Amino acid sequence: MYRSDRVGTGAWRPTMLFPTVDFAIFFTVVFTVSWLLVDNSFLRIIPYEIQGTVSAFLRSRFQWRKIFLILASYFFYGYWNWKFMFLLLACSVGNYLFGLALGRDYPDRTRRIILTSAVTWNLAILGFFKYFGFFVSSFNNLLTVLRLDAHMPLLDIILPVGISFFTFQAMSYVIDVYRRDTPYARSLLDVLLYISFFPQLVAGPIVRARDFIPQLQRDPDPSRIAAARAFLLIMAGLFKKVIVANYIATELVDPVFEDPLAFSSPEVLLAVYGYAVQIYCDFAAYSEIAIGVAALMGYHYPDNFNNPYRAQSLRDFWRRWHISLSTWLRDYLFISLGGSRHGKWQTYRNIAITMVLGGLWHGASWNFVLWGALHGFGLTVERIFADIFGTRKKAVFLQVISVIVVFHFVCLGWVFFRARSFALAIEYLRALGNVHVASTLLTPFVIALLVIGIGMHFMPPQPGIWARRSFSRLPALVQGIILALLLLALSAFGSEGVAPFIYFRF
Amino acid sequence: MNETTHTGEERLYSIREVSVVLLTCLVVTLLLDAGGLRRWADTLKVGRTRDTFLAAVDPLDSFTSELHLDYPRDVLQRSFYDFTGKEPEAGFVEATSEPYGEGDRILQPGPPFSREPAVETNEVFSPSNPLRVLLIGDSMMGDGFGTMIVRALNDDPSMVPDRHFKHSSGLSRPDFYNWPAQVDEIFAQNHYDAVIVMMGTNDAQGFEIDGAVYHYGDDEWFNIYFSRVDSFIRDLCGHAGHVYWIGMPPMRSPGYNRRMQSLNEVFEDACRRNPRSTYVSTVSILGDAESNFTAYLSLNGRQVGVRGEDGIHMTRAGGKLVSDKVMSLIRRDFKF
Repeated sequence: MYRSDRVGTGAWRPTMLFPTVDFAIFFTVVFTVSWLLVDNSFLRIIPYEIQGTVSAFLRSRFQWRKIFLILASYFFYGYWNWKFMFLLLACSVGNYLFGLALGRDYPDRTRRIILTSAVTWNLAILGFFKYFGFFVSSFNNLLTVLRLDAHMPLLDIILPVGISFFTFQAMSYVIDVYRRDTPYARSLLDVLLYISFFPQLVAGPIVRARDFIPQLQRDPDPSRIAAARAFLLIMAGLFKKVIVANYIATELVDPVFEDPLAFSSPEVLLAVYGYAVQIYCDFAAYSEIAIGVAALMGYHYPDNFNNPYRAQSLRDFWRRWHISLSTWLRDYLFISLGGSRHGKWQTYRNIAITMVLGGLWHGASWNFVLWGALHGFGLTVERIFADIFGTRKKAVFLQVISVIVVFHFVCLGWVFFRARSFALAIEYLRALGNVHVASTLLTPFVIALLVIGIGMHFMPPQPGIWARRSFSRLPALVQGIILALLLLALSAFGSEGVAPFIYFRF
Repeated sequence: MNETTHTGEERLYSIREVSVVLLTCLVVTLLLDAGGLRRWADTLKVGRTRDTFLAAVDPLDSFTSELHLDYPRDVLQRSFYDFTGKEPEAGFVEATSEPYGEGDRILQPGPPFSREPAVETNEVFSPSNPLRVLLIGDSMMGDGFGTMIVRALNDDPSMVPDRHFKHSSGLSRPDFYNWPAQVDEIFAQNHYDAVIVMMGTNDAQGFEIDGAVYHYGDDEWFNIYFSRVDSFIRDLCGHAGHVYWIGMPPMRSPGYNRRMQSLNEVFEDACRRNPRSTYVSTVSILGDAESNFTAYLSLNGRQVGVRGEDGIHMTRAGGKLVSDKVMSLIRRDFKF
């Protein structure tokens, strides 16, 4: 658990990962200083004569905290590659200026032009850094197929970590301001911090401006911190990442997905379930730790996952999986396309377009497009059935069947998501018929991880609530000791080295 | 309701309480797992930051070890290994600053092997007597090349691959991961006829031996690194019939590329001294016409991405090009 990639390559180094000593040190400093700034302690170290001037300049002592958190967040981002701090800054300043313009009392047509410019600005950043190579190489290959002797030049572009997350957050700000769902931010600091705040910066959740910016505009209350929730989320996240996701990846998923034809059909089947567990535990872990860390800093983030594999329909699944992305796609893409306001066929079309683009959001590759299209197809079929037969409450037996069917449909999608190409996904599905190959990977440990990873979705909420309440009533010293013992167990059980979170690459 | 949702009935903490919880947690963790912190500090890049952290955690580690405060963690870890049936890796357990002891500081490597045939064995390999191939390396052996060479070996019924790779490892920092110890452990359990090695991406960095720091680029650094590579290849040749050392491809970052190409010279020299080893250059396979980095190559008229987003690792398409070359060498060197 403690080893990070610090001895790694000289040219490239990973982002600061949550379950590392590097992050623990970073967070200890940021937590301490940021709360000291809230009670104005920091001003005491400034000479008395200029305290008044400094306070007046900053208007409020809480501006100090914002400045500090912005600097800390940029340090967090620059830890990976300092050059991209300027991209983050450019994205933030651009959106701040667009927000200012949208906040003015311009005619609707002018506001629409400003919004179009703002969205274009964000999509240009995202498109250039993430999709340029994909579209140009696809276009060039199309020209080759058409026997046209012309090629667009390819550029070698580094993909900035978390670019999909911070550009989407930025777009939510300008669109909300345009729709007058949130007032524009007068302070540049608010926008800088909203887009760069380190807990969610590189892998979400995609926090809405209307949820977060108002929190920056009032005093964080040092006497009302939801710490029990934060501690539970951080520990749950560490367990999911360090134990479940990491081990199931190395012990089952990675070897099978690399060469499925070399493994038996039970291994191939369980590796798909394993990947379902891995991607959930990996991504939910990041979200939970991010939400917990933000809570300790005095900010509230909404939940990003809610037991997705107990969904009884695909629609239900998308209300439980990566909630901040699915609601973003619903509010800013599906509704902008017309939503379900223009009849059945347009609704089906809008669902399909939303899901295909949602798939492409995950990566510049055709397999993600296919994954999105598969979910779009599934959601559309579900909608057609609902339109024809209506929705009614199912019997328990049918509910169980629905959960199993939806889970397997989602798993089919994960094959395309993980396999990297259509051909490899088909090869994977073919490997399900490898009945004459001996199984070597299905150890009791792997099976236990699968049971834990899937079983956790069906746990009732009461034990968790009881544990949190009981924990919060213990003396603070005992709470600290319990957390330390849990960390010790994770350190002893965790594998050496920390694999990066899957969603970093998106 | 999600079990992690804030209920509204939950007790909220003051910053003083949160600070007490976190401080207690920090102190108890430091006391019970100072060794973990020590190992983390060890893995930092050689320099002032590492020295500062080591100076801070060394006394704490010694103090807690004296009091056997590391006992609970050891018990937990042993129980975990017993429960899962896993074994701790020798590469981590036997991490040391000098993988070859005193030999590490031989500034002039030993004489080359006497001339021997490239592959000693006349054995004929077949599906009933397959060629057992060990693949070892850093993350380059993980994705891209590693995946494609495993697939290629699996596809041939006369060959059986066994892959061991470790992210961030190499021969520069055996204090992080000791490959010679790990290889001894691997060969103690199985027999292999050939070894394919690809490592070096993490090696262009300083290391410390007995308090003396050797910076990458210095003559002494190259001498020690060469002796490590040379000894490692001799070790591997002692265990297996033939070693294929895969060189580093051109890298996107010019400075990093220069460092990697300097290591390629070391690998090539060391392979030249060991007749049962072959250096496989990847520069001509993955580079452009001028042997520079390129993310895309034109294959059968199609533009295909051959390098990963980091400009270091290979995609599967890139890995396939290199694995095709390695497979042709194996088929040339062994009888099937």
